[in-house]
Amino acid sequence: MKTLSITKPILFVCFLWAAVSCEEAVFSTAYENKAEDVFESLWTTVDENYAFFTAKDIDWDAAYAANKPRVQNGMRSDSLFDVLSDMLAILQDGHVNLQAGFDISRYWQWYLDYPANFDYDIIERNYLGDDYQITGPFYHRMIDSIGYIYYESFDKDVSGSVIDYLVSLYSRQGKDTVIVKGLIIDVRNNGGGKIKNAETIASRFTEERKKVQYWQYKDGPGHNDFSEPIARYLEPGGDYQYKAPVIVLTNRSCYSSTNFFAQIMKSLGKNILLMGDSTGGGGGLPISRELPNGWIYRFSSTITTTVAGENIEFGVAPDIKVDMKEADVQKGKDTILETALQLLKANYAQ
Amino acid sequence: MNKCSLCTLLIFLAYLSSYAQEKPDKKSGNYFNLGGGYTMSKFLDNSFSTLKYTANSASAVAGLDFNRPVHYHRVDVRFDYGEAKNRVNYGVVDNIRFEGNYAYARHIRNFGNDRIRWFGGVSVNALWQLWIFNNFQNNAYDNSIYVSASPNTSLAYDFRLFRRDFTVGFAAFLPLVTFAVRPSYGASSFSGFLDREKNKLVSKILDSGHITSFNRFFRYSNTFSLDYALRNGNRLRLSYAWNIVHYNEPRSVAAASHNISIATMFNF
Repeated sequence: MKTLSITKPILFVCFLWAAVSCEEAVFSTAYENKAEDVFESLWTTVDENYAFFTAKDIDWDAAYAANKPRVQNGMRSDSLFDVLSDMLAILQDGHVNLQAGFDISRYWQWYLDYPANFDYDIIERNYLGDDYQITGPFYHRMIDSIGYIYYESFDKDVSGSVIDYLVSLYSRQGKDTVIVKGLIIDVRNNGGGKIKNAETIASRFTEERKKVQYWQYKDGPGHNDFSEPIARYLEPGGDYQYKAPVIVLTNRSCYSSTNFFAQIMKSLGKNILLMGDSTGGGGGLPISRELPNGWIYRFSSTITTTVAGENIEFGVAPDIKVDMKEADVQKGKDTILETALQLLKANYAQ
Repeated sequence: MNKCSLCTLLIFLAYLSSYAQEKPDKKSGNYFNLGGGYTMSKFLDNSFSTLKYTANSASAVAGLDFNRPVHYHRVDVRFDYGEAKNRVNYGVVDNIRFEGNYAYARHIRNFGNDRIRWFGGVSVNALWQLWIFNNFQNNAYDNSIYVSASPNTSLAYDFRLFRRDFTVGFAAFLPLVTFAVRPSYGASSFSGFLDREKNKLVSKILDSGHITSFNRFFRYSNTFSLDYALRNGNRLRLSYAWNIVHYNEPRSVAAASHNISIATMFNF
């Protein structure tokens, strides 16, 4: 055993210091926290990852040329925000948002340019009344021997037991003495949320495993670089499945997960109908990114198509188109819901 | 490039086996190590953000040392958990990191008047990094898995201070060939996991990764340690580990960690 020499520890420390000093070299980023870099980062990331350039025939290079001259380093943050928001609006996508501390950019023309076709006040006062049930995220009651369920957001989680309870309650095969003529699921003004909730609900309406969608993921920086279509299947879920007629009520404010839900339900068979207006769309899975100045943004990164190959980014058309009539609204009636009730009664009478 | 790296690794192994000396090493024994410490790490993943994050994490370390006269086997694992923040916004990222290494090395020679023992060998190094971007939607989970084959080297220097026995150690590895798994290009899922119809975990992972080397992947790790021999045969180890990893798939991702830990080495 030798006595300690001070030379070696000093050499170790010097080596350590030199090695750690090299560390910063690998943390290179192409962008700094400057307005022009923020613009370049946003444009480039969207250019390489956004899913619908071709489907929407968007000239993203032209968007660059139109907006880049508006950006100079040192410009005010709110002015930069306006430029970036204007550029993102070209994408015409409700899944595209830029989030700064003082504002959130958005594109809401997918429903603002169309009739509302829904008034919750009418539903609450004239249909739900004051003795409806609240089960999980659902408001529901029986209306003329027809089950009516209102679901306002797919962000509100649906447990298997809750949806099983509803299926049981409004099923013809239930133990109740009341014969249920059908079920209305009202998802109007439901702006979306979690896709798993859509699948949990829809799984109670199919008796067999069924291919319902194709998803394509970006797999390269080109506008048309996508993976092969990947089939998505819906498995039957719960104790048993609902077999009576079902009508799903939709309007233009149905977006994202609600759009998925409407499309999946529509694909399940003729016993399930969509009624009302087209959904607003939103067929891409939005993903998030951060800009060099800390702002967060999101954009659609996938393409969803029906089994027949139709892109659902632009909405899902109803089987039966019905608009709210002003005269009905004045009387406190919901035209779409009334039409659905009449159809289910007539269907049962046959 | 990958073939070159494999050849280099094989030549290195051949070199070791021919050069290894049979000069007995007095330092033999089996140890089970258990301890904890602190890790300061930083990362920048251009597939998720243009911001560099810095994390403060608690760490747990464990290991097994099988020291023999002319060679050793060592297994060590380290788990870090903490929060990462950047300097620009209020985003918080959960930082989870697991590292496991197996090293086999043979005594090569002594130098410095026989005061420093030099070992060389090979190791298998696994690293799992998970960063959870709590502000993100649908792509919050940023997973990386790297399994590497590496040459390794270590030095040991024994000394006495205040009539007590100490050992200063240095160990390092540099991966030559790595199986790397990163999120797919446009999502946070591994590419092999995008198709729900695939249900075999191993094939999903294999489909998700790439064999890579210096052309796209670089990792370096070294550890400085100070062991203090207790009278009951156990040892106390104070160690500092520095680790850096850089990978260019699908975009550049870099991470570095500085860990300081203290462990008890139980002799068995």
